[in-house]
Amino acid sequence: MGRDKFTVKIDKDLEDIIPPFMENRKKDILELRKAIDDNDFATMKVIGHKLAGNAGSYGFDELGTFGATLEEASINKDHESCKKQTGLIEDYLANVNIVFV
Amino acid sequence: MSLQNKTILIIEDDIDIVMLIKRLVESQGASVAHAASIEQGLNMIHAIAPHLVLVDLNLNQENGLNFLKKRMAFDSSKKNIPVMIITSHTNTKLQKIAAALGANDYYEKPIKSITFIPKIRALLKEFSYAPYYFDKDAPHIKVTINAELTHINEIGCMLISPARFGAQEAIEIKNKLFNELDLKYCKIVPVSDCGRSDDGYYRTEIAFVGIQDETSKKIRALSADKAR
Repeated sequence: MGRDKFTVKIDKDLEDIIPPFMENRKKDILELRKAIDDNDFATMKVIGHKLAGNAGSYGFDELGTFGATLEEASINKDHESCKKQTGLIEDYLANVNIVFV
Repeated sequence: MSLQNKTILIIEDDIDIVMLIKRLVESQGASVAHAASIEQGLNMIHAIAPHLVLVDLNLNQENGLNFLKKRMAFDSSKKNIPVMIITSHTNTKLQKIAAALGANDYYEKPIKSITFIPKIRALLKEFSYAPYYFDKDAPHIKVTINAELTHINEIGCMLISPARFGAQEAIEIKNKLFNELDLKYCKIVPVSDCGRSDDGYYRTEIAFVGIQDETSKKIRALSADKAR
């Protein structure tokens, strides 16, 4: 882990809906951590699928890719890979700096 | 095609996607209704008759394809509401199944304004019809109103009806006596609106313009019968 801070440019029209979006991602992280502890691949799949669809739509393309990989790993019941993707998602959210353009 | 005054129903369980679509289409003048399940979505279609329905293929415990199957049971007016499937899957087989079940278009997430809005515009354009004007497109069509008469003579009559008549409105009176007297061929002109009575019906004084001799004779015969 330990990714450097990085900047993502987001459409200014979405400025006021980004805070609730980020808030929901924090909830995802909490759920994901629990799902990994419980070997709950169904929950991991749902969250991964959701992220694959919504993150890229908001402009967080890389986060969407992590979501898609998590979904696939959960389908394959690959616990290590799920754990890794969860770490990447967590790291991404902790270091992203949003600039509205 | 403007999105002004269009209502778009989103059947989607991901609140972040709902918020995003709302933002994108409302900025173009459309209004948005949201259903979180297929059942709720079907009920809302009946209640609000939206111009367009957007359905996520992967709803929580449901498959968006089920929405398309249930939609097939709609009456034709509701079936004509276009449906666009939204999904994260790049799956041509699914696209084909959705199309076979009546989906009008398919959009793969991520949702990007630059491609999403034109797709919605195109669908709305394809499924919207030009207004149909009764006076220009079908001057023979009139509004038919059930009415009772309080009295009649060769000049006019008093109508009791559930609707208020405006001056010079193209109306056709549905009344047994009107038919028997061939009054439907005569131009009827509301001349005074006596307002709404306590019984909820409107009383309107009507004048007959261009009444035919034969009809006049029939009306006079009614008076003669009464005198006898």
